[in-house]
Amino acid sequence: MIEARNSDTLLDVLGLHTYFYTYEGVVKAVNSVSYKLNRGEITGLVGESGSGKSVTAQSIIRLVKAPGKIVEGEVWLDGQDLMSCSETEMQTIRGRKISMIFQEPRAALNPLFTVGDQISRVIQLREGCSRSVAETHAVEMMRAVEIADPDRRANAYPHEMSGGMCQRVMVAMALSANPLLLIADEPTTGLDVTVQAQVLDLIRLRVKSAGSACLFITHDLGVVAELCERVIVMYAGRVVEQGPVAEIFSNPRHPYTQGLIASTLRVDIDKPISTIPGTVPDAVHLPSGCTFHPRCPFAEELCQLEEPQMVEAGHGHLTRCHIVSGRIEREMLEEAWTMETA
Amino acid sequence: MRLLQYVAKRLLQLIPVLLGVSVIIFSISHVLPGNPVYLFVGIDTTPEEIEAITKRLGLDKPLHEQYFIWLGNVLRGDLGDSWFTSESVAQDLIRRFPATFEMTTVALMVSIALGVPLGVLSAVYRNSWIDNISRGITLLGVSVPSFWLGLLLIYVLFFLLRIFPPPSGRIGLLVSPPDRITGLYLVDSLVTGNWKAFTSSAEHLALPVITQALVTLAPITRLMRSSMLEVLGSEYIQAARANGVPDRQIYFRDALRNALLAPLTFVALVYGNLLGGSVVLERIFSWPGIGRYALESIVVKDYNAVQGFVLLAAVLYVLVFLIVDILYFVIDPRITA
Ligand SMILES: Nc1ncnc2c1ncn2[C@@H]1O[C@H](COP(=O)(O)OP(=O)(O)O)[C@@H](O)[C@H]1O
Ligand code: SF4
Ligand SMILES: [Mg+2]
Repeated sequence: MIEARNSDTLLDVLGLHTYFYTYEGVVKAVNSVSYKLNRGEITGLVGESGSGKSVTAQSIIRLVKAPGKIVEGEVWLDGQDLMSCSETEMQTIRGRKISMIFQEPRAALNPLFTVGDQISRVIQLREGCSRSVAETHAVEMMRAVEIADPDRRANAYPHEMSGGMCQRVMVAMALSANPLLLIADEPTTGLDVTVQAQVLDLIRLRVKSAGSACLFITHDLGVVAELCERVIVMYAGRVVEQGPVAEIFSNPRHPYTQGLIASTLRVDIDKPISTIPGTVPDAVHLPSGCTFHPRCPFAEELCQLEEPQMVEAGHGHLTRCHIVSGRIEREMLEEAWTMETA
Repeated sequence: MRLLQYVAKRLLQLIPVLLGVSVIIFSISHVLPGNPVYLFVGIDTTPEEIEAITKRLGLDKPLHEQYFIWLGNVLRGDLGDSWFTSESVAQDLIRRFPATFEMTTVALMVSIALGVPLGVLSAVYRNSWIDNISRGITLLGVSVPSFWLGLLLIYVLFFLLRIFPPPSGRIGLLVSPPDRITGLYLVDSLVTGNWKAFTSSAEHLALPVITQALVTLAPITRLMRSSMLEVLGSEYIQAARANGVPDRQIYFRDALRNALLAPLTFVALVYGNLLGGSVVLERIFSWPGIGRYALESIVVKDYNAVQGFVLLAAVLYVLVFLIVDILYFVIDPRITA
């Protein structure tokens, strides 16, 4: 281990492998992923669609859908090994120690029950309190996430509320637990900008005041820069770079991260949007060696032959690239990205 | 309140539907070629006599007038007389319908009571032994024709094993039927405390019910399984799990209600069809229901009887769908009045 284990670490993921056994072959959705989350910190998990972010989150709470399987790895939450917990134990951890907010708030709410019913049910389940106490608590939580007129709204069904309102309900449900770990899987995708900012504020406020850790999944680097202390970059099931946000954004070492940041910056300066050339590889037939090599402007022969190892590239800054590790001697020029326009 | 409003609205909507149905039924029997008067006359009837009968039957009037006369009669409960049984068609149908209703309703209840849990279990324990059993039953029910199944069950359960009585109708030959209250033997015998009639009619119900239930069970199980699987794979179930909801609650509280929605329409369809009587099964089990009545009426060209039967079947269909619509309204808040 490169970083010493310290008491601020809440979640420690070690060598996690989650595979899907499909008819086309084995999809290595999460491939040897390791990272730590600290208390009181929000960590962004970024990467293009299909890079394994959601499956990473599902693996932590052990809710990977068939034909997916956690093949290998350790997940330590607050000193407890989640991989060796029984399913019954996991049920008491989910919704208590770990809460999750989903990407599609309306789809994540049961259409046949009122939102008040759904929040208070989770509270009742957890606290073992009476129904009426739970209902009161649910209304309080709805008020806390700034849902106007919560008494009345508690009796509304999901289809009667806007997407933003539904997301607040999900946030209320997740935060009612005072979880040690909050996982938010693209919680603001599809919400308009103001609502998005409000939801982010809510999450930030609660995480900071409760001292919990938050894994914030997004493909929006702007949100990461604004919200997160640390960032993890995933590509094709692997973590390719991770570290403090300030460090990674000012000094990205992995070509993929550089590409992501370059394409974001171009949006900001209002030039034609450029993305990294090529597409995310077919999950069943991953490229040999460094999985990024078909799209990497700096790739050399070694990149096709040998997989790079994670190396330290600065304080708390880890990168998986042959150039960074010194196996390939070469300069990475920023112009490599600015030349590519689509 | 909301519910009452919805029911009222649906009932109002039924009026044009039923009127449409009545027009269609009337047209079919009156537009068809052939003069029904010939059914009432012999070979040696004079044209004058034929004309007189035509007048007496009102068949000389314009078609729309005939329709309104007929509709008025129908609304008074007069479906005309059957020339075959020489009784009023309404009376005939009222006498026979309880037999069909009792058999099909019990059969449907049995297939729901078995099919829903079986479908749920085979979705929850996908690819386990219980899933395989349910797949076997499903395959049997879908691929075996009901008449063959009925005959097979009679052969095994009556002829070989003597578990059930012979297929001789609704009740034992030596047992007198219970006093008629509803016409449903099970209900009437229970209400009047006629234990002997109750056991005998229950025994006689068994074979036709088992046959019918096996046939309906198959698609219900299959639909329930696929519906449950779809719901279990949904985002809100994943979210409920992420909130620590235990499996039992996931299945029975979060998933089941949603999973019931899809098969409900199918059940209505099946029930609506069954209430029109099963010609095949009523025949095999000598069951005095309206399916057999319809068949016999068709064979002897008893127009009034056929028309009355079709009208009853259509009304029952509409009623079943009314009830199912109301159920949907109660279960699913997304449906607005
Ligand atoms: N149920 C599944 N069956 C097969 N493959 C899956 C399934 N769920 C996810 N995957 C695969 O796992 C990979 C990672 O998916 P995901 O974690 O959802 O990506 P992200 O959240 O980063 O967009 C993808 O290649 C996807 O095809
Ligand atoms: S290892 Fe090679 S291909 Fe992979 S990112 Fe580094 S330079 Fe590019
Ligand atoms: Mg995702």
